[in-house]
Amino acid sequence: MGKKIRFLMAKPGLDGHDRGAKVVCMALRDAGIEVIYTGLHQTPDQIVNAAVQEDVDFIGLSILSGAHMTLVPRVIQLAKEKNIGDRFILAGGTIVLPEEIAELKKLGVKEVFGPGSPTKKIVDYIFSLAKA
Amino acid sequence: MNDSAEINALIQHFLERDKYALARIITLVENDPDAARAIISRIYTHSHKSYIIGLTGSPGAGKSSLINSLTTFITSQGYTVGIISVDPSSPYTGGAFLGDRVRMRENILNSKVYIRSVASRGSTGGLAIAIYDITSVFDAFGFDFIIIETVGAGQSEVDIFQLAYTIILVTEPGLGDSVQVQKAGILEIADILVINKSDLGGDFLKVNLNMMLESYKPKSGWHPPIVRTIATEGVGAAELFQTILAHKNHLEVNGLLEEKRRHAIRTQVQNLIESILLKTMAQKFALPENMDKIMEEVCSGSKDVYTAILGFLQPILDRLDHL
Repeated sequence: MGKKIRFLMAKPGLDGHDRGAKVVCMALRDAGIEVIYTGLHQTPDQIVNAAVQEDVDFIGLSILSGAHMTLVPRVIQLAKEKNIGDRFILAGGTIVLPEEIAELKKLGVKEVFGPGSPTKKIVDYIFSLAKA
Repeated sequence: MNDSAEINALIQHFLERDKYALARIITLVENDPDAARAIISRIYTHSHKSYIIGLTGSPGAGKSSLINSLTTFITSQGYTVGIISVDPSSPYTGGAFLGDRVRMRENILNSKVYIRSVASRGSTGGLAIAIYDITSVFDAFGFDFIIIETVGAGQSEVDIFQLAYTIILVTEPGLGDSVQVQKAGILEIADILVINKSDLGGDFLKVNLNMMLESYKPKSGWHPPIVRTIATEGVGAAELFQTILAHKNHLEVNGLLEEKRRHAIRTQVQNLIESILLKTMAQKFALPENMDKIMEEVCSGSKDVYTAILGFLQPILDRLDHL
């Protein structure tokens, strides 16, 4: 049996909209992935700590509050400090500006899935990264 | 990752109480039987005799919240806690939604606490063998208490309680009636009963539970107490911990703790031997290749299922007789 993919779905900051994150969680679960959902209002510290303990392959950051350019880099920084800078980081929510997406990718985010992203696309992308 | 140099380095850090190493090692024992073997054989001498608590109950009763409030109290007394939270894997897709952490936010950054979410991974009627290993790993790491949280009250969960020393059953008021709790079949193995969400009632439930408990033979002189809690407010956490310690003391004083440890080991040994034998034999006697033929015979109606199976098995059983 191959190793299961473990995915941490996190909602950093004050954003309280988690319906989208949960939809993605269920799609990942339906694709055979073990998803750890950590709930709302997580600090970057809490997210990275959870990612370390759960030894996840992916960290998904769902942000609809507009605070992504502050929160995502902090998570990335902390992840490096805690030795899990090699895990794949994905972002989603309402991160739509091309220049911000480009900036996030430069910082280390593998891909950003904005509004309307088909869940199949997300799943396929995750598996393509995991297999590589 | 099978590099033994890497595994050695991990074990080194693990023995130095590094939590990153702990996390990596759990992943290895969960997924790689060879690594599991190598790791367990290296760390088993470091057992700290952690005290294992098992927690079960219907979904929604508040198990995770209760663990959170209990853990907050336990660590306030200076102890360390390792939590294994088991949730079911989808029988169709093999994936899982592991959401117990949502209830434990206060303890995510607590340095005395470690939380690991584990998917049951289709263990049919028995503990996923990996959970024994994960528990051993936690024990070697040195947590004072290990809390294993499991899904609902199905019969398959009974096996999990061959591993824990104190078993806590969590219920809540308004779940229907006493028959619901009774059907669980788990009531009689509970050492402590918790009525959570006590702000919503529970007096009637308590009376019912007491009546049912009276009909069971007390296990070696221990009468399972009922503790009322409001997990989200921390109410009852101290009392629950004192009750756990009282049960622990009861086990130690009566020589029962050692008995439980042996029982847990026996269960693991049995499960492992049977599992390895099963896999080896299925492969050796080409079960996968013969499956289609057996299926065809049964589905077409030309043989009943037992006759069809014995067609395949009998020659093997005969050969075994000559071993």
